[in-house]
Amino acid sequence: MPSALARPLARLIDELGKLPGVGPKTAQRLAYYILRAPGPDAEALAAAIRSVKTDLRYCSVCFNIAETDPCAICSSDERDAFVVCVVEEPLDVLAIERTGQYRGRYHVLHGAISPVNGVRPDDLKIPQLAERVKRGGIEELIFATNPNLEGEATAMYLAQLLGGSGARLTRLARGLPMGGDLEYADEVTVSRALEGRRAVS
Amino acid sequence: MRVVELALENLRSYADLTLPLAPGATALIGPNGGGKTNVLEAIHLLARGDSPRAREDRELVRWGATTARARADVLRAESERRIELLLFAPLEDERRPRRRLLLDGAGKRPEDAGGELVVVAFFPEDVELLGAAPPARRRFLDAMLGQVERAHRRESRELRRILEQRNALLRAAREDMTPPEAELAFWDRELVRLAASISLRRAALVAELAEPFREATARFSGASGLELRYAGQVGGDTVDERAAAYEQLLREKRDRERWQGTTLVGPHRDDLSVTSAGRPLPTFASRGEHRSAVLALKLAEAGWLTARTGETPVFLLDDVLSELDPARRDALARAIPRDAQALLTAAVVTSLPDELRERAAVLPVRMGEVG
Ligand SMILES: [Zn+2]
Repeated sequence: MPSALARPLARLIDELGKLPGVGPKTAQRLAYYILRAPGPDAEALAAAIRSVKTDLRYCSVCFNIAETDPCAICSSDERDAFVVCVVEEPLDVLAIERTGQYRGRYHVLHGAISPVNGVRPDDLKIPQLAERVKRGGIEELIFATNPNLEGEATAMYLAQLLGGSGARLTRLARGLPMGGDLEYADEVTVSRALEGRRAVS
Repeated sequence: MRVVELALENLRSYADLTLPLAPGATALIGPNGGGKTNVLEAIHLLARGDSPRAREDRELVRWGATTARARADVLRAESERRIELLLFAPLEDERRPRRRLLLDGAGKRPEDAGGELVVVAFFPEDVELLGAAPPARRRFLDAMLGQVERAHRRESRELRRILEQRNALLRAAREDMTPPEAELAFWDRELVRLAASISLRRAALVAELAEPFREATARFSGASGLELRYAGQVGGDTVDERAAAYEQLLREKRDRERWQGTTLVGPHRDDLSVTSAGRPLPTFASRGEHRSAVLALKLAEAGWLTARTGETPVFLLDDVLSELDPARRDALARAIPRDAQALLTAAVVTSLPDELRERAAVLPVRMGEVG
């Protein structure tokens, strides 16, 4: 079927439409916006997209997204290596860093346990966390998974798995709204949740 | 409590309707398909968040429109409330927007609907209640509890999500060499907690309904000895007793659950049973007996809701009268409290029992026009 759209434009609409939260209409609007944007702007966008794939990697210690391996936090002497905060997503690291309160290190799971979505413990960076704990030197593990069903399931699974490791296990306090993601919580709320963390058995 | 005014926009057959409603009984009279049931359905929707007749919101939105709006102004003993609900019929390639619920103009989560307006409803679909599969009876009990207990609505929602996750895990782990005990632990704990709480509430409810139900069936059908019972997997008078029993049951069923890849333990396996001298109702009852038994159950429900909320609920009776004989019509008319707001539909005014004809306001309904 002959298309009224020039092929490069149709391709751009297709690709944009694959992004989360972007429906066909938004994809069209974005594509035309990019088409009409000044040359350098469109180039900068293309370069930024290429760069996240070529210049970024996962830190082999904490699995956060970083420019170097190990990442800046894992290789910094300023950060307390005895405390590790376990989060679901890289954006959660940002939320906690924004508070300026936390001096420990991180472990990014890249998701939460959710059998409905086909996510079981081994699909996350959980075996790697167990390895990291086994290597020793961690005194406290803070489970900062989201306060929803999947986040709670993940925290409880980790508590069972790592209960005998000798590290103190804590969970963020209930300052966070139930069902609310860490990523969207404001700094004060996250700070309070960090301060009020409690032991998990 | 009562609905002072109902307003509908693009809902079912109504493009734009504003309907002031009197206290006491109102009879909506008109031919079938003329729109009288839609008025009752809209009130049910505003009260309980669902329709007895529509599975999807798009069925409720008037043909050609994309948004429907329903509003009820509710007068309670100590308060006035405005409930507004917006429903969407999404176009093919648009993402489905959620419903919008407003209480006194403030946005609420749609799942928080319920409890502001308490109704007891009888729609023709309900005749099947006691003969149908168990899910319909569990929904009946849950909807009743949900109207007065927010916690029950929340826990029922949580249980659904726990079951989805737990079933998915059991299915995924079918091929595993050993049971995924560590992965199951969280879902087991949540299942036990919710199962104990939900089943206790339901069992207590049915215990409270049993006697009023017996009385109502005797008044209605002359049938005696009908027993209402909560048929649950576990017993127990406290949450702790039930939790312990559920834990035990989970251990016993572990292998079968793994084998079948689904959750066999929990209140989603329970039922409400009606028996006569030990025999279940469905095997011997006629359609008329079913109708009487369901009506008796609904009257018991009304009494229970009145006791729990301290206010008489609004009665919604859709096409109940036409299939009842005169004696039962009179019995029903007497069973509707005089202080209750009751909305009844009928094809002709002559099907109203004398007692109701005297006290009911009559509203003719035809072709989507009321009054
Ligand atoms: Zn790192």
